[in-house]
Amino acid sequence: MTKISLYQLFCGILFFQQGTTIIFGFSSGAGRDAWICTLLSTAFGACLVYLFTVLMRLQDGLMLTEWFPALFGRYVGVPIAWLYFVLFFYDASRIIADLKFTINMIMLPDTPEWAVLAMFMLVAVYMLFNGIEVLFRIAGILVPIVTALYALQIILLLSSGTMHADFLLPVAGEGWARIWRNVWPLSVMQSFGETLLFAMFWPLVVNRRKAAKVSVSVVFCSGLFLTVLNLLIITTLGEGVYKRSIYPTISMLRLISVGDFIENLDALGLMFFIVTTFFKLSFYMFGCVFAFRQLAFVKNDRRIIVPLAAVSYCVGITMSNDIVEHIQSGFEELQYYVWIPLMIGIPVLLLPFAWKKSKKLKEGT
Amino acid sequence: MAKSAPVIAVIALACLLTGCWSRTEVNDIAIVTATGLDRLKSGRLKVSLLLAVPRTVGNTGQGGGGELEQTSGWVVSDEGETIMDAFRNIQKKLPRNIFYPHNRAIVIGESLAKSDILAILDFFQRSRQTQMRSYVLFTKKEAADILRFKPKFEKLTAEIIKEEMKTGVNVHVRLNEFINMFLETGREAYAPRIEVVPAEVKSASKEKLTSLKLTGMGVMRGNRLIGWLNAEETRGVLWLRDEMEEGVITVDIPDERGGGKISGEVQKARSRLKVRRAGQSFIVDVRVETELDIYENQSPLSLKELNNLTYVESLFKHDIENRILTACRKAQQYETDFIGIGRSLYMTHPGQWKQHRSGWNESLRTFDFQVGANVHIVRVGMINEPITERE
Amino acid sequence: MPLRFKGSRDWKPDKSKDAAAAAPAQEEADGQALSGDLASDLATFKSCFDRLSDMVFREIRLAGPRKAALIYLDGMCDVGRIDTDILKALLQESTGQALKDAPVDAMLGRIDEQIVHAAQTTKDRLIGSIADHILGGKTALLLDGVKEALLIGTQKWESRSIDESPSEPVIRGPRDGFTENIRTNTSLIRRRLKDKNVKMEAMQTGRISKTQIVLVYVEGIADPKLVDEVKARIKRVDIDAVLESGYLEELIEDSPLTIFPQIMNTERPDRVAGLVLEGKVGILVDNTPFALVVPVTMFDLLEASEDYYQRFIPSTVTRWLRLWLAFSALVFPSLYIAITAFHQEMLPTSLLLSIAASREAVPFPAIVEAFLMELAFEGLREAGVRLPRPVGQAVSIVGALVIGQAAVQAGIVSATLVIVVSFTGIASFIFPAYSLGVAVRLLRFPLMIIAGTMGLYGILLALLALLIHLAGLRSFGVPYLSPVSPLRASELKDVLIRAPWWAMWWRPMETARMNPNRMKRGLRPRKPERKG
Repeated sequence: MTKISLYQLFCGILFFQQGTTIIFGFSSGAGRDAWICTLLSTAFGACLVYLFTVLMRLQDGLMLTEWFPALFGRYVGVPIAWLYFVLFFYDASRIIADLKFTINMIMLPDTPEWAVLAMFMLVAVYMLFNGIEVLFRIAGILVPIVTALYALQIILLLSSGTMHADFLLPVAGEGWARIWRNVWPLSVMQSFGETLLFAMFWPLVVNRRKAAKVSVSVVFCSGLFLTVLNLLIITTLGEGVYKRSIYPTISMLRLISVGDFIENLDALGLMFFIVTTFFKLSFYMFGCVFAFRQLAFVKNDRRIIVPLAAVSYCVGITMSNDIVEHIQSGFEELQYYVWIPLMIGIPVLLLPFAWKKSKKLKEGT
Repeated sequence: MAKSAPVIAVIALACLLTGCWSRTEVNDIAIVTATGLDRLKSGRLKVSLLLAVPRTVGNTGQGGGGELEQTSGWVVSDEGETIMDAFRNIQKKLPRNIFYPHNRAIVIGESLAKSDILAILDFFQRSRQTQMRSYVLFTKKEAADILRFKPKFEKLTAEIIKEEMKTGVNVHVRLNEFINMFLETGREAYAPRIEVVPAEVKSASKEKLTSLKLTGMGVMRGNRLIGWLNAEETRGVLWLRDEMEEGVITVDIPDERGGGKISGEVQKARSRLKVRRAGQSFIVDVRVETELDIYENQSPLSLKELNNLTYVESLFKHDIENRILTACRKAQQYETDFIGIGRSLYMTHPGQWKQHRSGWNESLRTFDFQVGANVHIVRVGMINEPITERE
Repeated sequence: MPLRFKGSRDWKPDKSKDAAAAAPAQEEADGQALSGDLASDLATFKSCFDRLSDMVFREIRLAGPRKAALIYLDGMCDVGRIDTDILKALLQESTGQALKDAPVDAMLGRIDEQIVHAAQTTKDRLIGSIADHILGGKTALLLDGVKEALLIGTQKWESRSIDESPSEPVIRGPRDGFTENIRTNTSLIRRRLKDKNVKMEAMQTGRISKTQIVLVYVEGIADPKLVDEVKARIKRVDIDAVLESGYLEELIEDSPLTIFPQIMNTERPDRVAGLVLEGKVGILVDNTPFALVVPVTMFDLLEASEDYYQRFIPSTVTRWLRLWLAFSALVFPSLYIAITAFHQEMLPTSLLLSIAASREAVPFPAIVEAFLMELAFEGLREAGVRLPRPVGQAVSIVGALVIGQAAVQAGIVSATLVIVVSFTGIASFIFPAYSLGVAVRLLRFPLMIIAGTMGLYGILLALLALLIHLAGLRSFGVPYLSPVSPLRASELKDVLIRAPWWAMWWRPMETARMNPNRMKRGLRPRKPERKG
């Protein structure tokens, strides 16, 4: 039986929430107030994750896709559970599409997309074969390393003297409307709302009562990470450049210059990006595999790994033709038609049912 | 795991066979170290690139007999409708791929600066190869002339520009700062001006050696360059922008106190700019705190005495205040807010800024500048009594 | 029946005949007991030891007409001791009191108890096992009319004296290393750990080699489940010979297909003793100075025994240096390839120009250049090990000159690359465990290929895959990367740093869960309070 320690859970969720946002910038629409935006969405995100953990506690020991059949019976529950499988699958493919545009843009301009993605997918498939426990384990190894590099990046930025604290002023000068517009729904949903995926893995954690606490506290931690990142980016790039930048982290790292020797640290940014994206993709793929196993009654995980990975590779590579379309669909259609109903709507609806059921169970015993 | 191993092996092998897509060896790239931009009379862009020639720059340590060429740079230029277009045309002349990330400086000629700069900035932010850390400079001549300069100390002109920027006696503007000046509300852009000047002053030598010098700055209104500030005025801007790092200030001692001159070096400087509403107009309040060390004293004043020191301090104070005021007058004269007065209003009172933003540059003339400097002389050098004649 | 060759595809060993055909006579006799008739028993042994020129049959007479015979293997026995302690004693005593009126059945007992001067004696009835003991170096005494043989421990063979272990030298620490003699080796450990709970269980494996194996562990610290698992895995081994512990290593490890060693081999008794105290199991194999230790983690393999002997601050620094160099040995050449061929923007301008200048005349792409040099270096290293010592020196010097100097001057490789390769070369020898060093040196090559195809992106992904692989490995059930992953924060003080001895209260949990307490608390030395 796989067992995941609380520390590993913490690291796993942290990487998952950093995910692709670490490179695309978090609520950059709010310009120089993006950091306020991040703080606010962290607070809302924490509430949301708390809601998920309450549901988890009420449905103790069940995975997300098992909740629905358990509460609504087979005929209603199973189709809803399949919806989540599709959601995870779509999100996994979206990450592949993210990569498709990013890697070619910032790293390997002439390498064909299929090869870049195939390489990534290959490692992800290897990961899937090794099992969820190993994924959490390497999260536990990499979080301290990435955090150390993150600290190094801050030191380097400070010592290269490209930061202007006055780029942050005036605070909320464009009014709070701009901030709120970016907090809801985009920033809350992106990364924090997506944590719903971990409802697939919570049953594997050693101590579920503490797992709930850890999951909520990790939101604050990753919120802090993102706030610091936003502050760094804004003070180095300035609002004008920041708002226009598709990859603000990379632009920021390119401005580092210490003693004319330590320069162009895109590699560092790329490392953050590849590591966190890899985790996000792997977690989603594991979510898909687990959901599929449970819903389609497949006995052996290993048989479905390669087909699932292959299909999501194909979907990801054909998903959007250009980055504008990709971002547009992500920030608009996806938000309102997919994420909000599935990540907030259904869980909120679920709450009274789950509560009633657990109460009944308690009375029974 | 055991089953996936052959699959991985096969795909890894496939990767190998398909070759190296994005690979470009170091000896297949032409490293651009500086860029010059001009607008031709026909309206087209002229882009000049200063390429580093590694054979002469890097010291390979062997084949030492070969004579060192005069310069390690090579300027290539061509024209085009856009920068990218010009790049394409330059590429046709080069056997190696243009490699842009090591670009250190972007020199913009007056011809281009006076027409429209905004249009060209897009490229520098959009291209994956560009370097936001490069410095932006204006020149009165053609930008290519600056690149063509034959350096003596450094091997590359770009290095000279970078080093001169770092000395901090002039304004220095990096590309990202330059772009931000355009994008931010309430301030106009500026960039230092660089020129080729004779290395020796009033020399009898026939050989005319030249040198690169930062000779002030060019200020813009909107997207056009509208005027130049000389080195003195530029230093006023440095005080205003709180970017003063080092510099020498020389004051005249009036004849009644013995005449002569005293030079001091700025050690620490801090300035704060506040904008205050006063009726229809605004009062700009500039406060400067600075610490000086005296390095030269040609006057008979003994710096041993405290009241003499205080007196010299007051002279420095006036000098600094005057410099700052000259810079402010320049802003009023050109009607462009390169000091960022509007921005500091926006930072503190965004509401007021929104009311007054239209016609801000024109209304600068009505502003009242109140400058107050606070000077401390901290050290007086190795001696305290000046060298004077025997009595 | 068509003639079949061993190499042909459809050749299969004929299982029914295989073992029996090998030694028909012996097979029959093995199960038999001694008949009691000396002449016939001797005949059986003689046929059993047919064509063994080193076997000696010595027939004597004692106590009147009673015949006896000694059988021993020349070269495996101490002939001087047989002369003085057995033969002389027997022949002198045969006229004495001990055997005079003894009944036939008690005779062997009397000889054992009163006559033979030997510490180690046993009695046996079965011809097969007697033969095994004789082959193992014991001397058998057969007595006419007695259905038992007395086996006297007279083993002695030529062996190397205890020497400094050449593969793991230390500056501070004991200089003795294991030898080929398992008895010497057990004694080297026993001298260090004298408690009765330090068990040395003997096992045997190898159908022909009959190699002796000794499991060393501390009862009460080592997990009995682990000990049983080790025993079970060794018992499973059925092979003709175990000539070196490497045979055993490959036959009992967890993941046979990985490049990483999951079992430590060491020549140092202090190393084995130290690890055994952490609850691990040492496996000593006869005829090799390399002992095995299971289970090990990667960090065990990155630690030298000297880390524990030097003061803790230098040891900590050394550990970091080692980690850093180990990592550079893995990625440095591939980073060179990735950066010079893909990401030139990551170098400072001046460095880029220097590299570009040194590469100006080089005809190969960076990857080919690096591959050539790395291969040449590996070749030199291998040749340096194999060549006779005096020649080896010369080859290294010539190789270094030719490859380092001449290749650069000829413009075949760039000077920068030579620096990279030599640094990597040095770094690759930082590993205290040679087996891990080999793994890393080999992994460098696929990494270079990936770097040449995908640049830094490829390197990052490859390292990620490597990490996944490592995190999934286990050595005898213990995760290979513990205690870093799964994390045991308190044990990091023996991984990231080498905590001072007075702070390492606990043994590693993963192996010493039963009895984690290493020492009394509060042993930290303090300044004595001044009295008076």
